[in-house]
Amino acid sequence: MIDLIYVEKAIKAHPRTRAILERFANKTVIECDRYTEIFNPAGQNFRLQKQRPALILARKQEGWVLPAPPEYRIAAGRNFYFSHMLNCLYDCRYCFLQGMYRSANYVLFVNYEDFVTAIEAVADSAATPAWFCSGYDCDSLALEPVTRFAEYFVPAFAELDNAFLELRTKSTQIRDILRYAPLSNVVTAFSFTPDRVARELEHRTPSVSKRLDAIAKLQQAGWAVGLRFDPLIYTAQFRAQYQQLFQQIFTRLNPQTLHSVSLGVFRLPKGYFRTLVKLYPEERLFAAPLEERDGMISYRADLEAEMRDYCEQELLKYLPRESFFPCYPESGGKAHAG
Amino acid sequence: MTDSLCSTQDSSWVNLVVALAAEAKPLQSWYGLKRDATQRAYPVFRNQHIALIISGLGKLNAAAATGYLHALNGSVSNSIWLNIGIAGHAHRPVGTGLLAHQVVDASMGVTSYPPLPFELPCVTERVVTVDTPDLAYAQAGAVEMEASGFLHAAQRYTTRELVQCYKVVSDNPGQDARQLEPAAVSALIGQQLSTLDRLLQQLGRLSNELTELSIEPELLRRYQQHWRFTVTQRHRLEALLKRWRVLAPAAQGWNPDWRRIPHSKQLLSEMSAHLDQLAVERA
Ligand code: SF4
Repeated sequence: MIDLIYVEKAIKAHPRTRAILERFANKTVIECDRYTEIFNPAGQNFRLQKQRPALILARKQEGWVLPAPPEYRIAAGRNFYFSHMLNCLYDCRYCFLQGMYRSANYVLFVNYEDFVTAIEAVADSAATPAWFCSGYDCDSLALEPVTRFAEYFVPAFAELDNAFLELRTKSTQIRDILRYAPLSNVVTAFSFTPDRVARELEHRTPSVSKRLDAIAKLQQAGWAVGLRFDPLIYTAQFRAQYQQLFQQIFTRLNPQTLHSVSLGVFRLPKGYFRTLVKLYPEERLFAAPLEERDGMISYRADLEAEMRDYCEQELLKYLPRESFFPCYPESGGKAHAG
Repeated sequence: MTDSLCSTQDSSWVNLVVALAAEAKPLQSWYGLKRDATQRAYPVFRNQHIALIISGLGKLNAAAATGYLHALNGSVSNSIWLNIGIAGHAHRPVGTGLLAHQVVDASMGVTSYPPLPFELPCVTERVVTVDTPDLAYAQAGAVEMEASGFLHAAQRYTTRELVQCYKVVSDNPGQDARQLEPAAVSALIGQQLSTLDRLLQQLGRLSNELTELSIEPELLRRYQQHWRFTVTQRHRLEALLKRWRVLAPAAQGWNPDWRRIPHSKQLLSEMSAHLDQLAVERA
């Protein structure tokens, strides 16, 4: 529920701002100079704010497109990410955003046009195709009814020859994608953890089966879809849980038509992890057998390898090797949003 | 005295900062606050959950009184801080209660946005803190003299979500501030008591949520009776006890066998190894 909307004065008259404010006609609107005045101050509590986040409408002034971190590289060649939004409607306990940001308010950068201009420039700057991943600092589609992000960016990519778009999501908000004819350079990648883990850790997200319904609809309409098993979560029953998850998925979807499937491990920078533990000391995930390696917190190396190997082996029972991307960062990566 | 406040607040501690005795009066009787006779620097009133201080006019006085009250109450964690007072407004009717969504220090040019992640009990408004009374009503929002000083001081002591400013419109271009008698000020605040209750209930809920995450002081004392901990070790102990609470709630954070361990350092490393083992067993 959004009760408060902060609006940067500079984008008050932007058509996207106006459309959003119309949608929230009876809410309190507060003007500000820069979103950072609300978002950045120290001494805020992410956990408390997550109970009722405000929406902040802002203008992204620079850095529209950035090089993708290693675990977000989905293809060989040039990989980038862009964030039209900071923070997420959902509340996954492993999400690094809780450790990275001081505020749980949603920041939406409404100047989509500038993002597309930057994407175009990056795509045109070399002959090799470039991948642009959205969903690093948010879920790409979760707030679609408000943001109309896919509605704008999907057709924009139809005009780009050398650019590929990955939308990363746990959402079922695919209506705005289905309005268009399928594009070969747009992939919607859905993240999964086993049902029980999702219920315990991925608060407010659609169930695994609802996500599968959404994927099936996209596939039927001819859209490319990817699967992301990221992060792998350890429990004593992880084998049975992941086996059952893969079975559930691949009895519903045709593995041959999947664009890509990747696995990612649980890994958080130490500082973020500390913040998360302070915010949620009652969370079982953070009491798990974790250890620090090179400034990153992850599962104990033996458990991590066990999970990785098992899941990889299970997945390859269903998948051709060409569509499988392990995505294990050597070190230094930030884990999991989208 | 209202019951609703006490019943919802349980463990949370509330600090109220007002500028004038007339603003304090209805709060004293509503919450059953008694004068703390030991305090001479400022008038301070209390009950079991609430302390109120009368700061005097102006942001410097508000900041100083806030600091004083904090020092007086020691290290109560997750305490609530609320500045309550009257304000002028260019167009809002007298008697309107307003929660600040933006506080502007007019002379310093500094703006703050108190986070409001709870059900709002009333309308919200821009609050402008001025150094001298402003009867021109040229500013947008509620104009008063304390909020910015209070806010900047109180935000040092607790998380920003628990620091709020509540203003009641006392004058506007149609109703002159100069004719405002103390009794009228008390009446204006008195009309807001149920809204203030609702606000304090919301803040109490947030405060309690944070307090419940801490380790019970009793348990910590038990450890401190047996071992001596440095500050860093005490933080580590708290972190380990929290992890233990998650992994084995039934153990209640205590193993009598450990009393044989002579030093705190050794205790912490045994605890840590024990929890690592538990983490794998109970994953
Ligand atoms: S992990 Fe992704 S879906 Fe979950 S809260 Fe973070 S951004 Fe949202």
